[in-house]
Amino acid sequence: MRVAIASGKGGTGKTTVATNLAWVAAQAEKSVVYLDCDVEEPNGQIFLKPIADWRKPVTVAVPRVDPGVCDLCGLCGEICQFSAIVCVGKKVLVFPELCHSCGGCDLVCPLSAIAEVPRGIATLMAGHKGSLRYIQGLLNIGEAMSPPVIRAVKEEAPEAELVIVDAPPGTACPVVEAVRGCDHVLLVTEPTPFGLHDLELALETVQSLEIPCEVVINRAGLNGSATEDFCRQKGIEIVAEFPDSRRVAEAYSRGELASEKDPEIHDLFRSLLTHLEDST
Amino acid sequence: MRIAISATESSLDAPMDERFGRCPCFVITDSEGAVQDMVENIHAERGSGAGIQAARLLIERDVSVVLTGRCGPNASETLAAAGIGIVTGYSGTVRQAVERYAAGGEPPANDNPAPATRSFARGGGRGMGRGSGMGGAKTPRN
Repeated sequence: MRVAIASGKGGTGKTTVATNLAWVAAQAEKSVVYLDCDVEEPNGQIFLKPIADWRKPVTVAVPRVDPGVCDLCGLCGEICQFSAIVCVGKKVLVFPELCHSCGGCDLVCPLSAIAEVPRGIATLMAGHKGSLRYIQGLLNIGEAMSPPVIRAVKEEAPEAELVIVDAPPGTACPVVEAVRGCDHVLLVTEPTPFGLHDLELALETVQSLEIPCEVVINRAGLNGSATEDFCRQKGIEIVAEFPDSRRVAEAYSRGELASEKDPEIHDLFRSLLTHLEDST
Repeated sequence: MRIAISATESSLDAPMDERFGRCPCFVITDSEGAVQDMVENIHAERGSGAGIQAARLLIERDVSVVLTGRCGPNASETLAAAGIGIVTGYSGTVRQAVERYAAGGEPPANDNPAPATRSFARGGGRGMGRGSGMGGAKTPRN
């Protein structure tokens, strides 16, 4: 089973839910893989503290133009939807950081003046904490193209009883890439007006991908029943509520797993795990 | 010489738009400040590469110099590749910018935090930041 932990708003507790769920499942002797797909800020490692086994670069293909062959026809610039390659005056400019690696410029070039060359944009790291496998991607500083890195992280995942995908925040391409192919999505929200607003957007995104999803409320009890009302109205089940607890916050601030420190929290994650197992 | 000024409207008396790539239009004047052309910036709302495409619009219009507030690195590189000069740090109206440029080319001293840079200097920040949380993006960027 592959479960993505997502949210519209950032800071609602995706990583808290994902890391604790992974750890509780591993303790229940499941084979568990944790994929940190928040590749701009992969912080699952702060809580899981994996021992690194290997690292390797992620590259994307970008065009390189041979000026000796190019006759400046400009077709490459016309096909590119991202202005990553443009023909200006007497040369062709390439902006590698805008390139989405579609290969269109190479395809349309009548003189085959374009070669695709690899460009490193991120580093993958794999490690383990006991039987738990941990894999993360980390974008290089200044890079913006996270979907290929998220794809690379997911491709590294070995078979397991439970694969947990810690998704990036938001509702744009990186989130779509992270949750695509998952069997189930848990949308983590906080019961605040911002949390609810972004939950609505995230729900729309996940539903358009036709993946079954449920809601987890973190720091429950903050803001009346607006989130519950919304979920009821949309027919979305709230499958776990984690209390607004000082002990959880303290564990978090020390980089510790709340489920290791607090038996009540452990039990809540155990119930969530049982629910996920029963629903598939 | 044709001078392009990033503007909020197609008029000499319109306030400048201090952004190069995402300004709604360019006013093109001669070195005396007479309007020669108005160019709508059809790329202002582009998800990515707006500055590069805006630069191409001006290259097609045979512009020699651009007066603007700020210009990103990709747009600067595109303009420079075509031999177009860029002077950043301008604000006020289109007319004021042309007059000041004609009087010596220096942008006015003002409260604009962007340092004035002449010709082919690279300025500004990069696009495509982290899109998180608030607001429904109409066209998610892949």
